[in-house]
Amino acid sequence: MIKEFEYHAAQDLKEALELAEQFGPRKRFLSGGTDVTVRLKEGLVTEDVIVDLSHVAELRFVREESGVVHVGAGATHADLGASPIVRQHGHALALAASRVGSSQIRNVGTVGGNVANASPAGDTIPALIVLDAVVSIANRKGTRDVPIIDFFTGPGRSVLASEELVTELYFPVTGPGELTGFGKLGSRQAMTISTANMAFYFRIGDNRRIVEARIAFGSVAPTVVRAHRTERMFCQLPPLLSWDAIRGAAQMAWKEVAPIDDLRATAVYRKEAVVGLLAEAAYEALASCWHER
Amino acid sequence: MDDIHFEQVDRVDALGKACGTTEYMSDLSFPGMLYAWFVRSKYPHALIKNVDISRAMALNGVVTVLTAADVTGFNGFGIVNPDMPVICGDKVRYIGDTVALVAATTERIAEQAAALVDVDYEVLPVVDDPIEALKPDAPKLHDKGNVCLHTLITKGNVEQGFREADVVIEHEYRTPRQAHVPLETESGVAVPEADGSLSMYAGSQYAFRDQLQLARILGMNPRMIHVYSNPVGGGFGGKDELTIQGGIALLAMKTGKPVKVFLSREESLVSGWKRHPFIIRMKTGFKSDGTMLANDVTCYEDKGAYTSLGGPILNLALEHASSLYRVPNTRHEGWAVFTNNGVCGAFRGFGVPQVLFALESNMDEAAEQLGLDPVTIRRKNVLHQGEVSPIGHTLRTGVSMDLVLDAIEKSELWQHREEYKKTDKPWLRRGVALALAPQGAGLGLGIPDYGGAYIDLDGDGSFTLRIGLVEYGQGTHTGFTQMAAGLLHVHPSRVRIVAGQTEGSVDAGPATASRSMYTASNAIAAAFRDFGVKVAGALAAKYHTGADAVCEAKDGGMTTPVGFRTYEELAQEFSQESPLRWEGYFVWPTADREIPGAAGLPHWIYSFAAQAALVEVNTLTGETHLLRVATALDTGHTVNPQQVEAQIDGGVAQGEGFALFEDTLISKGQVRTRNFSTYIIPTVQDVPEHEYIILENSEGTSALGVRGIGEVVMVPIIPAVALAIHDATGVWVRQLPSTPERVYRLLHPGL
Ligand SMILES: Cc1cc2nc3c(=O)[nH]c(=O)nc-3n(C[C@H](O)[C@H](O)[C@H](O)COP(=O)(O)OP(=O)(O)OC[C@H]3O[C@@H](n4cnc5c(N)ncnc54)[C@H](O)[C@@H]3O)c2cc1C
Repeated sequence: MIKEFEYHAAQDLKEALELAEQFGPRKRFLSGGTDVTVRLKEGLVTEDVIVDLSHVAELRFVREESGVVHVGAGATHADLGASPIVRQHGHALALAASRVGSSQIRNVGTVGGNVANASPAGDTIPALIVLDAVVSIANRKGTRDVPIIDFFTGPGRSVLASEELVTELYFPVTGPGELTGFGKLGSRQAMTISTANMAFYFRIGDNRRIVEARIAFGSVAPTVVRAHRTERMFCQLPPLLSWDAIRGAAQMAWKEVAPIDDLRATAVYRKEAVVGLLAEAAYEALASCWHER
Repeated sequence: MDDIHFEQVDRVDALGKACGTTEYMSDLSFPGMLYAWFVRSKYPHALIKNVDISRAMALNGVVTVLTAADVTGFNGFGIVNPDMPVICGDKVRYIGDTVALVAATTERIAEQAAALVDVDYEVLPVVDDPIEALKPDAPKLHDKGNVCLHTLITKGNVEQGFREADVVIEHEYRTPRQAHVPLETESGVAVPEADGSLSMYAGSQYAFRDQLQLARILGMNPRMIHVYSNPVGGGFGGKDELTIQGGIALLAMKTGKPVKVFLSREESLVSGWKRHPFIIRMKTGFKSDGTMLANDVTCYEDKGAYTSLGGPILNLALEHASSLYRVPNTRHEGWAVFTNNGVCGAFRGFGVPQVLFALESNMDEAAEQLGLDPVTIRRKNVLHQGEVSPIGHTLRTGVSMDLVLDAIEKSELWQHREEYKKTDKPWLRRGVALALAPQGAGLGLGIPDYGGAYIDLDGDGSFTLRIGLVEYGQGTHTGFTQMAAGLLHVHPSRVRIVAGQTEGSVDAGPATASRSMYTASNAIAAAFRDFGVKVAGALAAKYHTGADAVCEAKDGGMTTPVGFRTYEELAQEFSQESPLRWEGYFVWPTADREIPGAAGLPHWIYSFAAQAALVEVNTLTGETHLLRVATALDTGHTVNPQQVEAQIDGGVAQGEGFALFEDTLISKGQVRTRNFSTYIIPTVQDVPEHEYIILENSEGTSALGVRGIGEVVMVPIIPAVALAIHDATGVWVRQLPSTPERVYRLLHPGL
């Protein structure tokens, strides 16, 4: 049974911030509502005021400005998947957004909601991490920026204060010589929460070696995690397309994740699966610039 | 009559369903209607010490709260044995059990009140393993113990067979607790009428049986209960037994108000019927040329808390445990065992998918060991009409095992399987496998299995077909009107159908057991014959044409001894005689003797299908995708090609779910998969491409040659998927569903 609550639909950002301040910890934001309504049904929403952000047009945009991609918190997954800017300059994010739920969910669910929800299984999060995204946060008095890797403090928890909301995410454009990708393991092809997910960023140097790597895994720790040692393994790979070598490098991921057993999968299987997800996606991406001996 | 050629026509219900104008029972509302809430048990196994409804009754808006003492008739239901209480009085046996019923002015109040019903329980140990439950010291669910049914069928001497065998394959297999998950959950409205009768509007699979079960619960004359159960938003067997009807009927009679309930998906998944999980131990012996010599099978059926159809399902499984292969020595033993693991009942396939997964797997493993290919080993063993079945009865009706096998061998998928198996990714493996299945149709021996139909000639020369069988998505009502129209020589649009209700239609048995189209073909044909006879008789009386006058349907009317008459003319000519009704009744043919010790066996008429599956396994994650399926199906006589393909599509999806995704996980009696994020069914992104091969080996006992196809289309796909995973990777899958983690662990046994 959905409990009774007070409902306010903010018409613009200013009103949203005022409502946020007015109700503080008593309120819960709602953007697409695809997480909040599920929680409401399950009786897991403790707040008794809902502040609806879905009418705040200022939050829904995707644009590129002087080498930086800006994504509004209210941009839907469908927006991201279809955006030429995101597809070109933040490919991993477009891929991740396109694997969220189903068309119906992608049409209403937002990237801001995905991030603010802070689920370790959120699909856009590893993509945003490898793109080195920054979260812009506002309250009635001003704004602050937090690198996304520092945004999450635990499962479902973040640095957001009760009078704050996420306004946008931004990250530097990727261009030629930069490869990004996303992979997800679920229980079926669509409409599935990630048993494990993964995103990577590789910058290819003049010697065709990987000179910079960023790799992130989701659903295998209390928050999405970076895998620094695995990144170093990839930077050491000779620039030859070898399945065994790439899989060998990915193997390091085993040591960098701390999953748990749940209904979807056991911890030990999750460790194996993230290795596979990384190896598979990296191999496919590197095949575009490396060749077999 | 079986030479009628049926044209493709649109479904009679297509427009309403596509446009959303069709009113399902769960869409109905009535003035003054109340809402029901079922207060479910907190524990999977407990004694009820006390139920205190005072706090719930005190809530504003609550009209009544019922406990076991308020059941006016017999407090139990169940198709075979009414051992499931409508409201539990002294004991609960699963967490879906009802301990009280609330009726209130809104659904919200009803739910709030349910939380205020105070029940004192004495918790009992949970029985959750059917094999443990058989031990003498296991806690008992029912006074008579935990054995719902034990069946043993033997033929020949299996030990002798194994001694002569060159290869013996022996394994244990496990199958999932599949949920039916119809789009429309259990729901309906009970409406008390001014004359003291009750109208029940609730989607179900057999209005006439519901009527009797409700009469028993209410302690009322069945004639005072009118059941409307059509249309149904999906059933698959889950609405064969009563679900919510008993509860809302009691509330309606008590309050004098219409009472509605519409279960949430969560409540449906927790409380609703499921497919019985089986543990199957199967030992099969073969000669070096592939000839089967012996099959020794023991099945443990996890019955859940109450009987329902657990016995007939166990027995149908045992009937099919050696398929229709030529096995001289068999020993088929089965135990249906009560546990606190929810409730299990009828589900498309009725025990057959479980055992054929095991048998077809043993078959392929033997083929591999003997260096035979999967087609050859099956062809060596398939039975033909006139031969003796593995359980000892002679197969008198049509047997199409060889036909479907030949057809699947010729399928494009099987012929080109080596090309289909190629992939360019080092981590992907593809495999192709096939399997075949017979599926006994109808209710079996000893259970009255009959069907009636009325054909009314309406004043305007069109027809109303009245038949009890409900439509829950199979397309049968379109098929029925096509069959009637075909016999009458009119366009199907001239035939209206009234069905699935006790008022204005006639009992034709349950819409289960692949029996609807077959039953209707004979009942409608009988009504049609009655039509010819009665028209001829009436004309003879009027025009003195002689008693042996015959009438034949032709071109929108009939040729009669007094010339051709259109149906409009006939309707006018006989408009005084009301109603212009023709009646047909039909009783299923059955075997002349029962298989000893196995109630209901044997079945007499079978469906047949073979299926081949192409899967792709990701060896890095264990993910398995079903890419392509070929189905060879014997329809007997195709009435509506599009519906046949639709049944294949749906059957394959449901079989795929069984093989790869679906399982209701219960631990310590608590359901852990309570919604669609954990109870995984295939989506449109997961279903394969199809190749359809439709065969028509006319079923001689149907006036129109038709066979049922509704169940068999989901059966061979299950072993085919498991065996295709073997073909792809070399591992044998013996527990379904074959989830990514299970496949991964098979590939990496050390994990
Ligand atoms: C059927 C289904 C399938 C799904 N599949 C996936 C999937 O595959 N992958 C995946 O990652 N997720 C999935 N989800 C979860 C969900 O759709 C996503 O997390 C989505 O991005 C949430 O966005 P929303 O706008 O709907 O968030 P909401 O539900 O509106 O909000 C989510 C949380 O974020 C807060 N919030 C929202 N906007 C802001 C803001 N601007 N500032 C601060 N806080 C904010 C809310 O208060 C709430 O706590 C699925 C959900 C459903 C129901």
